Amino acid sequence: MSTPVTFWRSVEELRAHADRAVSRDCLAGLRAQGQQPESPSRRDFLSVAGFSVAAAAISACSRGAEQKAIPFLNQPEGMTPGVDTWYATTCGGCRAGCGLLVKTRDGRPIKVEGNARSALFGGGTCAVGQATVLSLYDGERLEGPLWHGRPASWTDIDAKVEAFLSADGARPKRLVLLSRTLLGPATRALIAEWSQGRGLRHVVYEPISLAALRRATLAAFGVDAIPHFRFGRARTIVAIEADFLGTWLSPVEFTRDYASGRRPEESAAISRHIHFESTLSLTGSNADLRVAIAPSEQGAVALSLLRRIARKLGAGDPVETLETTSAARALDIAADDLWRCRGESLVVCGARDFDTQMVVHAINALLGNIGRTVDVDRPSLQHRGDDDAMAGLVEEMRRGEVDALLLYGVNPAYDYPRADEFVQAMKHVPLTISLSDRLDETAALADAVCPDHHFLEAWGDAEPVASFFSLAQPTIAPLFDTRAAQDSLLEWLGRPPDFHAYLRDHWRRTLYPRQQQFATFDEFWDRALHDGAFAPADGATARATRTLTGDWRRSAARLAARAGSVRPEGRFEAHVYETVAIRDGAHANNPWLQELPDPVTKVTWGNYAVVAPSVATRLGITAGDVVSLDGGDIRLDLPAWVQPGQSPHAVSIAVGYGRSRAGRVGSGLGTNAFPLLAADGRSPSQASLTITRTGRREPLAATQTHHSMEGRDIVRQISPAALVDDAGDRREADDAASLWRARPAAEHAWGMAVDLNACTGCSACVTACQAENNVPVVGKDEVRRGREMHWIRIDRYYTGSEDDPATLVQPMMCQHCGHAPCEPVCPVLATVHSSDGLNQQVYNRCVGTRYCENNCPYKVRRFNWFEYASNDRFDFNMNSPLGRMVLNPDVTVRSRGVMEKCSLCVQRIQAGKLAAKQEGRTPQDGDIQTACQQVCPAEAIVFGDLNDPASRLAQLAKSARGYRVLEELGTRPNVHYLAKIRNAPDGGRS
Amino acid sequence: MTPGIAARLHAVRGARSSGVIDERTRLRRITDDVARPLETWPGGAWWACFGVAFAALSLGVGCVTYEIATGIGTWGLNRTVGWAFDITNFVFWVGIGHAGTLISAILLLFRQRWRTSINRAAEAMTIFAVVCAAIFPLIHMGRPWLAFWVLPYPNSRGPLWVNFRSPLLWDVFAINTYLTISLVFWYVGMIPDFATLRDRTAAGARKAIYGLLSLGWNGSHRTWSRYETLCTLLAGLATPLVVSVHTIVSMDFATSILPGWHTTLFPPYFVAGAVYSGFGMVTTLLIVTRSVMHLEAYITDRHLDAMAKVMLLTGSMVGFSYGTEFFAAWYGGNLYEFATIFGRAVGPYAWAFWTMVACNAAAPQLLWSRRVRASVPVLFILSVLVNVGMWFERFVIIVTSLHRSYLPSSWVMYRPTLIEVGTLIGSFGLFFTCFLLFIQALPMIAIWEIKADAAIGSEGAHG
Repeated sequence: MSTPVTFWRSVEELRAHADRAVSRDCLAGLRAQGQQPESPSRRDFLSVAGFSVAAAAISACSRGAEQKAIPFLNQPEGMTPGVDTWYATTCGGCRAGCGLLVKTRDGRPIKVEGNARSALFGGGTCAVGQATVLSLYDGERLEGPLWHGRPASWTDIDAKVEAFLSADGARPKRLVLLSRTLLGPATRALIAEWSQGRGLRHVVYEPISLAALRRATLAAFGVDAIPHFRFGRARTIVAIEADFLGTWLSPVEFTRDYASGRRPEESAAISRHIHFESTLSLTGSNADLRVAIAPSEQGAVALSLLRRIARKLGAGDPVETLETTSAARALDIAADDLWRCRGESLVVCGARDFDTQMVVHAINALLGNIGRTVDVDRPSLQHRGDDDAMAGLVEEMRRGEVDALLLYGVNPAYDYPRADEFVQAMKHVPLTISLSDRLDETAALADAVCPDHHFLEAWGDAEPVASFFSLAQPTIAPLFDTRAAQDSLLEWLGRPPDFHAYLRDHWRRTLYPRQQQFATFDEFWDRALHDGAFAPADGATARATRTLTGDWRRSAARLAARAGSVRPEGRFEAHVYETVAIRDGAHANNPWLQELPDPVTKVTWGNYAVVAPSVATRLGITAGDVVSLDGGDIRLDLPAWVQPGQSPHAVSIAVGYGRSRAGRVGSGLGTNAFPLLAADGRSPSQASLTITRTGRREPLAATQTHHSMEGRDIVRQISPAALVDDAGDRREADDAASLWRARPAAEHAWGMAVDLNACTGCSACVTACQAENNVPVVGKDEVRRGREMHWIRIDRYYTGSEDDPATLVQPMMCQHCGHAPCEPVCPVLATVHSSDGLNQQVYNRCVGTRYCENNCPYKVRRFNWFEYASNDRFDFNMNSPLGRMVLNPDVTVRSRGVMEKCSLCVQRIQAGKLAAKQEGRTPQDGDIQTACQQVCPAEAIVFGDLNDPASRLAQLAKSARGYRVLEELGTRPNVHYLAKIRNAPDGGRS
Repeated sequence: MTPGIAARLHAVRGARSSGVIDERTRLRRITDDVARPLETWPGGAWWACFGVAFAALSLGVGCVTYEIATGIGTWGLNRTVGWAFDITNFVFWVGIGHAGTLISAILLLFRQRWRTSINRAAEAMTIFAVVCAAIFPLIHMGRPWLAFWVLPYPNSRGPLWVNFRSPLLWDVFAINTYLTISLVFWYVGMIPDFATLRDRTAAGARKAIYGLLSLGWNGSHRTWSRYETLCTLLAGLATPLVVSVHTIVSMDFATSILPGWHTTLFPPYFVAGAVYSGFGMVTTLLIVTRSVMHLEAYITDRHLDAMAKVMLLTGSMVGFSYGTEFFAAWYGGNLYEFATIFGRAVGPYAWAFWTMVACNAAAPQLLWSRRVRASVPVLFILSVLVNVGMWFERFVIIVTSLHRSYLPSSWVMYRPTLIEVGTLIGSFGLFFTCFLLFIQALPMIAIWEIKADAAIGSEGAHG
């Protein structure tokens, strides 16, 4: 709307005007009209004066800034503006390698979803996966290669590298590739060629390593990999320090499988989950029975469990009283349940200790789980970190025995426990090349930085679990002058740098022969690209790996020897863990992840020292007090957090913080806890940390500060027995009579059901909603003031005692109440009710009185306190053209002073209705999925049409477990909750 | 002698010795005394007060400008507490205005002669208080440049009307009505005084202005007769406002769903509180003004005594309301209500709650004592405490119900920012600036009403 209108009285005048420059003020028309005025009467004067004053006032009102929409000169085939295009790819957010479907609009990816066709992972993703679409548009990414810190061209760098590699022909260069776990078979093949061609050595380094588990699996079963754990087949799960629903190994797949075993509507038996851990983790908070142990007690717990199982087999040692009373009782229950469900049980352990893992393998073997819930025939290839090789490499580097070091997807200058040793050692390497996408801590020290594509821009493949393959394809042409890491490797190998061709060739040679469905490779390739995943039917031949070899008895003896040592007085063990949002710190510059409230502590923007309530009382510490953790050669200062359920013998600190070169968002946030990995003791006598108050305070930015339900019926929890008893009962009577006339029934009645039993609290829905609905990031200070903008939040309550709490979580979004308290109180009718049951917020009409926020009993409304977009004060993803590329064009970006809230993804509802209408039918159940529903790996959120009796929502709404929050207020919410089932052992806490 | 004045003669037989007005005052002297401030430059005390008030006003203007330019985020509000200082100040100032209307209108209908010395100043205080109050709903909006959308004007967007069910909209009507009627009543009451001033002034700009404002008043009997009727009618129109305006303001809370807000007690409770705080402010202002402007002969101890009695009555009603709230919370069995009400007394804002109780329920009980009522300094302190307590009452009601409501996951603490405090100070600055200008520019005592009473008194009883 930029061309003003000129008035004309005749065609001649119009033609005459056409040549003149068009005036840009709206009085032009008036002037054109008034070209030959008669002598004006008083009436004319008044009318003209009135019009001109009004016109001047209107033209003085602000118009929107003029923006240009430039159409394509050559329209790409198959791309229609405004219509989504989806690509199947594989996630590169962590090592799990989940399948993805990426939604692109107008040529750029704006939303990441899981691939429902993936047999392993399903349609869900985790929060990190959701946030990877934003990391594509990270302003910190390098825009081209660097040589010694200065921009260079690819040809220059290639020339330098090749010159170095071929120079000095006396002896071949000693090349080392230090990389993260590479999931792709094609990439691994390429590196194998390097190994043969140039003598490259490949060291895999993971900062949080599962090397002990891999070595134990090799020793026990002869398989050099981590087993593939099948949680869906287990009816009893015992976990020792393994956050398998949050951060351990493959959380999306495990959540999906775990939830499938806890759906009372689908199967009568509910799995039982017993958890031993140091700090209250996401997984531990979901357990039916949880015991806090110190990190050094992991081995003792495993050993005690082994002894009990052995006794069941009739070959046991006498009972040892190694553990505390609560652990003993829990171990008895665990052993009973495991034995009762042998063959359908699972023990997992996240200990970084070989002997403990051997003992756990022995337990699983004795229970007959191998080949059933513990699959070593088709093991997981998701973690191949090798601690010993890394330590050896650092030593070799220090001795100058490495000539060239390639760093691919690793950042040891930050996350190696003895990072300064690595940095010193790097100085002795003549040529270091980093393939990092940004100038991180390690890349800043490298000679050459050859930035890799973001995984959304790159070709690749993955084999997360043996014989399960997936492809990765670009969803956008590379934004910057980056080059795929594999292309760089090909180039330096002297081959044409076309990894796409290499990939195709590899699949043609290795995978195409393993299928019978397609006659030509191109058909197979297209189908594989389209589906994203390929699992050949043949699989690995059954090897005789189900028997337990390896000397697990010696491991047990070693554990027994260590267990009896005494912890020094006043010292705590260091426990290092990953948070669900930040993981190992690779995504520290992602504002969505920094602002994501930790599922357990609800703290954002920083890490902290987690202490038990009894310890806090004894030392006089409250949350936010800066404490000094002193472990001899390591000293960290960071604020404390008091956590119910924390082991009183351990202090837990999350890694991934304290980065110095993450970017504008992540640098300088929190404290680097990776050095504590070197301090991790294996026995209580190695407990090394002291805690002292410094007297300083650093208030933490938590989104929830009150943890008790105060006796209110907010999150309901029942036992499986109660479910059976009530199975016949319909839940309490429907809504009471109303004075208001009922709204006329419309075609649809949208609603939602949230299964609190399936929900683990992982908070992927929070990030998905943020991505879908352009929810702004507000920063640490504003979160501290209680102004986070998330439309959906996970409320987390504790019940029971401080030292041994039970945790209940509840996703809370706008309940779209039938009798919404927010609607009658808005003076300007900015919030109204649609005919199909949605409570609508009309952004353009809102003047911001905030009565609706006050009157909402669920407190789900969010107000725009400042201008969050294009505002330097909030320099996150909405303050740059690059960052704004992630915005969803279907959803308005709200201005300052306007209220917003969950809309049940009304843009998706409208799109679904339109698509159905274009096909001449009504929307079917499952056609329309809200963002939170779509992303949930546990399928805990169900959206649907209550008017459709066949819809899944209508079935769930009638469930005996169903209730609505605060329904006694008469709000008639359209969001139903299904009570959580806690499968506590008899006599246990419920 | 018009019937109205004759009626008054009968009604106030023996008023000569009632001591309402010092008997020795002569009619001319009344005019001179009241008109003197208008004709002379103000003294140092006035300038000192004006300097402070204007500085406060400037601070407020700066804070409000910053807030409107940057966002509501400059205040201390958050996702749970959507109102705090803004609506506290709004209700506070609206409440203060009620005293003036009660004195002007209700006491007129009840023929309470003692009101004549104070009703003009009280009515002016009402106007200024309502102006101060009206600012807050405007600036508390997230997009105040669109504030006109609350007005039901015909438009081409449907037409799109406003939400007549919303208590905020009833506020719009109530405040506008209140301001309009108060302004009209106040102005009409000043017409004979403007005429007096016009006649006293020598030719010039001032005479022309007074002449314009007096609308050609000629003082004839017929004019007086019509004028009496008009005043009575306006008083009748204004009287219901004393009850209705603050009832509607209380509906902002009473019609909501929040525990602690959702109670039928609020309308009478708020009206009593409004009269209470209004009289507190009138007492404060008049004690200072009468000594600074040397008007002790007109605003006598009898007036102060009467106002103190009104404060005692309404303060007791407010204290009784506190007790009623606690009883209902305890007896009612609603656990949310119980948690909120008792949380006021023992929770994180208990300091504000107990300040409120001490100032509002305990302090006015001192006024039972005649000695206390007669002591001007004590009365002054008590009247200031009344307003402090009433401000805290609105703060406690708003913030304690908001910051801890139904779902404990959303419980937060609210802390004001300097901008909010500066805005509150600025509102006081605006109020006192206006009041100080008023006492220098307009007759702060109703000359014609005082003279009518004095004339009746000096003519003696009639048959």
